[in-house]
Amino acid sequence: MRLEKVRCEESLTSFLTTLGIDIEDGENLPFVGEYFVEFKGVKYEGKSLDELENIIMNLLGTYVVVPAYNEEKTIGKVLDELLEVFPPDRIIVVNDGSSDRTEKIAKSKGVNVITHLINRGLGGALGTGIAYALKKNARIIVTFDADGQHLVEDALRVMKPVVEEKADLAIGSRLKGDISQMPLIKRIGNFGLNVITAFFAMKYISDTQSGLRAISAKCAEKIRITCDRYAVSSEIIVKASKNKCRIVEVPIKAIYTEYSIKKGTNIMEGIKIALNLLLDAFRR
Amino acid sequence: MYTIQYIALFTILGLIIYVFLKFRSQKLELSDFIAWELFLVILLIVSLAPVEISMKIKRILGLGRGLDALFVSMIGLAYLLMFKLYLDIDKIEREITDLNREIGIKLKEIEDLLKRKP
Repeated sequence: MRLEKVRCEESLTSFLTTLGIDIEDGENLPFVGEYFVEFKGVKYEGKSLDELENIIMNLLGTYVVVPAYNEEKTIGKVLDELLEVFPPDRIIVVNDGSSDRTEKIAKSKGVNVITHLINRGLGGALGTGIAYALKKNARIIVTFDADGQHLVEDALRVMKPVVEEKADLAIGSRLKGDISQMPLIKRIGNFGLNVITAFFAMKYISDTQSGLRAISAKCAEKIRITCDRYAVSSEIIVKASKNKCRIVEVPIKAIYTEYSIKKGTNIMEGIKIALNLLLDAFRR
Repeated sequence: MYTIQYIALFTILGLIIYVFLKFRSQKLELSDFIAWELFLVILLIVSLAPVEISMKIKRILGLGRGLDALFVSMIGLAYLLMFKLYLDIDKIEREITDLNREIGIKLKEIEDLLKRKP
């Protein structure tokens, strides 16, 4: 997160200066108090100066992975919104073999862009983004969709439990939040996949297919994504659960534009996901 | 001998020669060559005396007409083979993804280094 300049309480000015952070006055800047960091209505709280320092380091070390396949229509706007909160170096766009101007647009925004020469699917793209983020010593990795389905404020909310180190994996749940816009068929399909995932993960998550997640680096290192297409959403939950990572859900709003409804999981994909989870037992 | 036996014999002998030629032109590995030829020889033996063999199978397994047991086992084997192929393809897909990942990240790292030394 952009924390080069912040507003703060008097008592913390020297502390923040030692961390290399400038104190300025500006309405849209994050606010640091005892002992919390507040930005865009989301408050990351700690109980001591040490915890506050941890929170600040976690926020500075947060990378956003944006997998993208032929998203020229939306990627520009999505990146602009992310850049209001994150510096360009902390955003990683994984261009999954796009044949349109996705790569060009992403590069023009100055963010990190990694390209797959051949399309590998969501799982492949996420795996690459997370691998690169870990190489850059990320402390927290946020996954964010390129099709405009997610709000940056929701990303900040989903980050909260992981930044405060109360959880290792936080999933933005559309079902716990505002589902007024979600089509019925998606709700039914989601429920089916939730049940199947719960069977393998031994834990029920209300929105297993959500693309908005925050993972701690420790948890991300333990999960080896075996590059499936949409099945990766369930796979991350199952593997995190098996590795004893603490999983929580955070309510978020689902934005369904006509564009994003056409993409995404459908019934055939749902069946493939179930089969994939089953076959995992035969792999390796 | 039934007509179908003649057709089967003809096809199987043809395949035995085809597999051998593929091996000769190095399109097939030794282990695969032996495996396929073995499989074809078994098919050959079965097609020479299908009824007698299926009677024997019927006595051992106890399934309907002998020929049925033959069909069922052939189909079962086909499914096993398909499953093995599925696993093989899955492994190849993952290897392709790993390649893409390595290449993508290495290229990015090179780009980063180039930007740092203009």
